[in-house]
Amino acid sequence: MNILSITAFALLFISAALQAVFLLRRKREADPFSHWLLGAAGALLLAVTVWRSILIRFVAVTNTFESLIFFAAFIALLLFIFRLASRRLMPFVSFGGTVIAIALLAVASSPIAPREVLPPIPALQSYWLALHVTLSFIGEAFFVVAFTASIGYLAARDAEKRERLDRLTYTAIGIGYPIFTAGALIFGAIWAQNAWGRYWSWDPKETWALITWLTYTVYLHSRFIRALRGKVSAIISIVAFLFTLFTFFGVNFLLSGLHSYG
Amino acid sequence: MHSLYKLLRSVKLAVVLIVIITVLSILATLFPRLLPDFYRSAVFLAPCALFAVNLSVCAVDRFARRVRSRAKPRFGPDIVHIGLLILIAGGLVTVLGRRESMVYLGKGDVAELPGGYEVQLTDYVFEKYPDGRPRDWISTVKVRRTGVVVLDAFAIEVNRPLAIAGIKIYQTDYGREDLAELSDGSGQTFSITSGKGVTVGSSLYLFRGIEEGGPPGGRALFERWEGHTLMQEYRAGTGETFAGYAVQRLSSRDITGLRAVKDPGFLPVLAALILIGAGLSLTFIQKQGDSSA
Repeated sequence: MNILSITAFALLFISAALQAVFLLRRKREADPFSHWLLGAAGALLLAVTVWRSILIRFVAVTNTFESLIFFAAFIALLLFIFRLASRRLMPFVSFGGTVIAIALLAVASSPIAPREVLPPIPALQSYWLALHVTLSFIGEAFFVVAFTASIGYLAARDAEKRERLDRLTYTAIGIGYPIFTAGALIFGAIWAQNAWGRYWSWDPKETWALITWLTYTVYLHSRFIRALRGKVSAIISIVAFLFTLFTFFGVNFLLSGLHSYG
Repeated sequence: MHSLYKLLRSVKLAVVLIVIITVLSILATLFPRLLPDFYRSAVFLAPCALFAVNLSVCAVDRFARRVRSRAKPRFGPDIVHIGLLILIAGGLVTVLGRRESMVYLGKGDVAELPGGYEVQLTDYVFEKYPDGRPRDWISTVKVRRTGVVVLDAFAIEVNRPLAIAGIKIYQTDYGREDLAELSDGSGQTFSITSGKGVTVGSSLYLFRGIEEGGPPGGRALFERWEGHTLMQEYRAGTGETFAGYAVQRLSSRDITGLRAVKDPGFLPVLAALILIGAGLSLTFIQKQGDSSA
């Protein structure tokens, strides 16, 4: 199993290096090969999740290590699918997303994410939890694309390029937002009600998930306000993703609450 | 009047209010000790209430304009907005109407519920993984109503509550309870559980539990309290005496912690969540249709 995640890490690294070379050559189109490496890395990481799920007889998203693997898998697969389906994914966005997937795997390999294969404690033995976690991360994988596209938007000088990056940010958030809403808020609330009899308890993790959701809500509504379109919208998208990361990492290590296991 | 309506239906106001609610929520999580019970304070509830009004006016205005216009019907956002309003209403019902109580039961113990129901714990199992982590807590209960058995055996587990008479009973806690059987000078025998005590004159003798070691079966630890002051500790094994009481028998047993919850707000909240999910899905499908057209 270790070999699968190490191979995936290596593939992501090679893919990032290839993309960096093309970016430095200032090519407008992405290279024709690196996304296949992303697809392969995503498939391998998904295989790690499936293998661990078989071992623990439950969907393997019940600790930080497993969550990071699943999140990185979906980022890699999403970048691959975006590129394959429409070629709309711009080289900078693909590179940024790949770097984030590598960073997540680096955290997964650190001591803060123990990798023992352990079956879940009673509170986590719920398929509502599985839906809650998997859909949250799938939604957040789209937010990764929006985040890198927004950074690209702020860095770009060419109006046409900015338009494309703005469109990509909106598309990624437009797809990720309902998935994140279903996972983080809807299924999270149903799970909490089923496990503890309280669908909302202002626990720091759930409050930060709400903060993230509200910030993406502001992003979507900022599209209707002329003064906020463009640069401000891009900044809101970046802040929202930083909140997503804080919800995942910051709350676990800086604030205490019910979600201390994930 | 018209300008007030214009303000209340404006997306700009919605954005400002959402930003305020977001910033307040961030502050409340970062400084929980400085801002205790913040989410029930006027500072937090006032922008939430104004947001609810803004959302209501926006929803009605948007819906009316959609119906009047000849543009393609796009009701996804309307469904989301209505869902959010029901969510806020359901949340209010929960705040005002949610009741819960905690009960600890050992095997054979009975807890009374409203409506003449009784829940009796018939079995309790605490399963562990080989590494000692908890695998499951299973509290098997029998339910009677006015003496008649209505449910012979139901295993309450974490994530598997028992629903009865509008109340849900959740597996929430576990522990061990110590029992001390005591006799007084007249030979009268009675039992007390850990955490309870006996009063002698102005002193309360609080039974803290059984300590391992010493005589077989351990030693009972009692504390003598005068008002809020701890005066002295006593330790007594079986057959020994303290303050005129003789310890006849010491024992302990597993207990399960069950939480009974009645929340009339959850059903509207669940309906709201389904509406929000449906509205977002519809919006997404229609947008996809637009971009592929």
